[in-house]
Amino acid sequence: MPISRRALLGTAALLPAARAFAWIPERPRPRDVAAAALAAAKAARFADVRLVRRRDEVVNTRDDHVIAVRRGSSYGIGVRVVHKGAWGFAAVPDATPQGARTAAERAMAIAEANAALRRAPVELASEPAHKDTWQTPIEKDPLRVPVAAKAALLIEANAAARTVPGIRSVRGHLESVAEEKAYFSSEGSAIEQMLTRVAGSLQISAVGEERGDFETRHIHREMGGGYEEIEALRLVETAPRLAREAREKLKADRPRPGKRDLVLDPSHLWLTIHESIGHSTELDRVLGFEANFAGTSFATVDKLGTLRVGSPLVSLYADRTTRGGLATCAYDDDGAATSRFDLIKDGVLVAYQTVRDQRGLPGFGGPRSGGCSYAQSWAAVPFQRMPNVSLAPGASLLTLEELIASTESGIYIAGNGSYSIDHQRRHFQFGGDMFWEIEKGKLARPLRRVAYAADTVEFWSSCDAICDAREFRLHGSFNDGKGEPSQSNAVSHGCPPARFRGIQVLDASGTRRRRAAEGEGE
Amino acid sequence: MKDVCERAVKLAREAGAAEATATLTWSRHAHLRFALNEASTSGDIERRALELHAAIGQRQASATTEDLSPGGLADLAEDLVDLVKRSPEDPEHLPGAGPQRYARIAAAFDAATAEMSPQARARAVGPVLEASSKAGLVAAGFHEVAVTRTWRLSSTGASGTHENTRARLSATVRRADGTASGWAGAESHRLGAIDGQALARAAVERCKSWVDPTAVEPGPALVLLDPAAVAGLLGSAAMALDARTVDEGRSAFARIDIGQKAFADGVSLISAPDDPVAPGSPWGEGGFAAQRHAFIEGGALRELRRTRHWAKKTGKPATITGGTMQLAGGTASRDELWARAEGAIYIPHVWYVRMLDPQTLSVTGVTRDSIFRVEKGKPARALKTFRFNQSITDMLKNVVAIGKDVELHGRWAAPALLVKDFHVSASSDAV
Repeated sequence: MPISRRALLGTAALLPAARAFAWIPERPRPRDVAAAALAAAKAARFADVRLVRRRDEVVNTRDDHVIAVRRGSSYGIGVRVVHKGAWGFAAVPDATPQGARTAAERAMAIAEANAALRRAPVELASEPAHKDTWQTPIEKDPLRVPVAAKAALLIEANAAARTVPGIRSVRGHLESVAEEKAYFSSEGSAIEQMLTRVAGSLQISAVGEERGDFETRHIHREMGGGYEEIEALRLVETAPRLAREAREKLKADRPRPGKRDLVLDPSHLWLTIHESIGHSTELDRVLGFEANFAGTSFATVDKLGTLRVGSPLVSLYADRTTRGGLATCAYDDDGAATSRFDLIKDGVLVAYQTVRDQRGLPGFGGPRSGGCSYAQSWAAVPFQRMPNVSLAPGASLLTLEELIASTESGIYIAGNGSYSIDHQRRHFQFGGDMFWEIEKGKLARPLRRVAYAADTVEFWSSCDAICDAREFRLHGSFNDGKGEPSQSNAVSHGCPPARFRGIQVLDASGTRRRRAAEGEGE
Repeated sequence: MKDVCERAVKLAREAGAAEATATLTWSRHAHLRFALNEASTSGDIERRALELHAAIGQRQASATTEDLSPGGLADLAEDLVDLVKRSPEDPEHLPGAGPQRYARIAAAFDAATAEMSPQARARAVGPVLEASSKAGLVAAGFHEVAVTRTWRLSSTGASGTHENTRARLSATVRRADGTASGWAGAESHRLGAIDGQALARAAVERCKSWVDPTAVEPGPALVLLDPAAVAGLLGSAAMALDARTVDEGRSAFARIDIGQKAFADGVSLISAPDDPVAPGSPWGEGGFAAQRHAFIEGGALRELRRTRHWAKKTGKPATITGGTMQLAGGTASRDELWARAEGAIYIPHVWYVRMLDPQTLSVTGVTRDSIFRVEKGKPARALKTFRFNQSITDMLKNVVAIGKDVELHGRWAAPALLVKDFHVSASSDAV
């Protein structure tokens, strides 16, 4: 639900120094800059203009000190046209009427040059003209929290971790980003949005007695929101437990390879959702637009409405409106309003993520776009990017504790480790950050070097329990890479813990190490 | 642009910085993507960014802006120095370099590449689309040219400039029904070094030849890795060579002593700023002139990457590199390499390579597009995509032969490698 200007002003009162929209420079006015670009592109069938100011700040610590403080600011203009049936885009760092005209002229020249390489003209799905503002709801502007306070928090958390014997290295990271966007189109849209996101993490390494033996435990949180999301991490309070777990991993057993039941925590499952369902339901991949880099998909359009991707318990939906989501906004970078819609309903593929230039292509559905366009900056071409894709909570009441209690034998996995999936999102292999053997409904002991491998459809079809909404958590990443040139998208995935039956578990130790442990020598 | 750097450094000093360094980068990237045998998105992107770094005693910070106006520079300098004053001390901070003699990296820049027009980009992509259409196949791909100019100036006396061009073309050609796929790609600092027609022919031929693939059995296998696959696998090796992580016992190289012969005879891993295939920056950490460093030579570990802080702490020399790496070429011509590869699995490139076990520098990933069994010196029988779980240190130990020619892929230059006991873990139906 978009936040109106009135509601926005109400939100502003919560902000330090009442700063809601610092807004990109008032002079020259964004609308005047955009007007110059749209005038220079008046021969185009469609044109849009984005003025984007991005500000970011990073604080990194190692053990008892700061190792980097960086602050960035970037402001420029990107102009996109559909002319003679082809796309053209150009961007310049000069957000003035003159810079806007230069960008528009370059974009027009590109479209004209590429027209001969089109077989059919680009067609856009219709979208009403929007005049609106929106911003990520935040309580504390993260860019107004002093660097010294951020550094002190990380150093205190590092110190808390280092109270545990055997901890050799602790690294901390805090990152804050604000993207302020003004979007104008030849269709009459004028949209202002400010997206704010934060990330916080600790990486705690314990070193064993044997040369080269070490284990690491992580905590990280990346959310759409303000500094309150960092405070909610409770880094100082959590660090000693993570440090103890890193040390426990050093002496933990390796897993017994074979088919095992897995209980996956939201801090782990979000990434499995992202890789196996999030990417496979992007229509550009399905149709072959990403075949040269990100790949294609097993979920082809001939199977829409019939492909059973998961068990009847499994429903996954796209949602750029959810509070706290990294991909949450009111309008995408095509100027299309965002919404929530089903991708997998009761285990069956029912829709794809879409953007406006897919109108008329198989699988588009329509008539409106799904609002999945995003460009990482003013200097990047908007294209299809993943919205927040989440697993719907189970309908029956079920807590994590009850789920584990009902599991006779299995492995509980939390956090993220190694992850890799093929270019059609069929077969994957994921690790985790922390693992516990489940025996007779209880967490019996920690494990290490666990990975599991599965086919996407087999994996989701094996899901036999999903906890209820009380256990639903959002996790995500600032850096989902896709496209050429590669762009980063910030995206979240929500889910409760869930159980998957009979999944192939591997010992993720290197082959050489495994052989050595099994007495075969190196 | 040097005057912008001078102004920024002066403003930072006037605001109270004891030391300041300005690095101004201007770049222009132009690209054309294609899919379904036609142009898709295409862009011309001009950027500039001034990074200003300042230090007062052990306090330091950096900030970037694209606003190079006098007001923008003044704001940047004031904000940065304020940020430095409010930052805690960093005991690892060391002063930047004094006056340096930076090498001119001639191989990094090509004027013809820097001046490519939208029309020329469209002409470069045309033959790929034509070859694919003629063969009744469907092409997707990417063409990009970029030029970057960098100016660097420090209050400690080091100043220099560097210019760099880059061109890439890659294409994935697929059957319309999705039952086969062939990839080819090339990258260079000179657009003229990329033969688009040959690249299109290779992608089309691989796609057409990939018929009735069979699964590869899990277990050790002899593999012939093209340079793109080698570069994709080696990505994580550079991190593991960090001296601090080795000394702290957090790297696979912690188990290998300097001078120890741990890899196959011809394996040499080198970073050189004037590398003709993978030229780097003329300066590295702290603005010191980048030097040639051989980390592995003749199969023996010679040196680790050591930051200036860790060098000072351990009393050993720092390694200042220009940021690129080369796995050195060997002696085998292409024909010799293929002749020795009888029965090997030919892998043109790899996908989604991620660290699996840092203790053994093991990675997991998958092969991509078409792979083949080598018979009589040629790619013969089609094989299905597979997942591998492979230690990179083991891979470098198990090298059987090294191709003579090296190719650029990202920050790495690499030759083709014939490797035994490459660990296949599972087959995939992905095409």
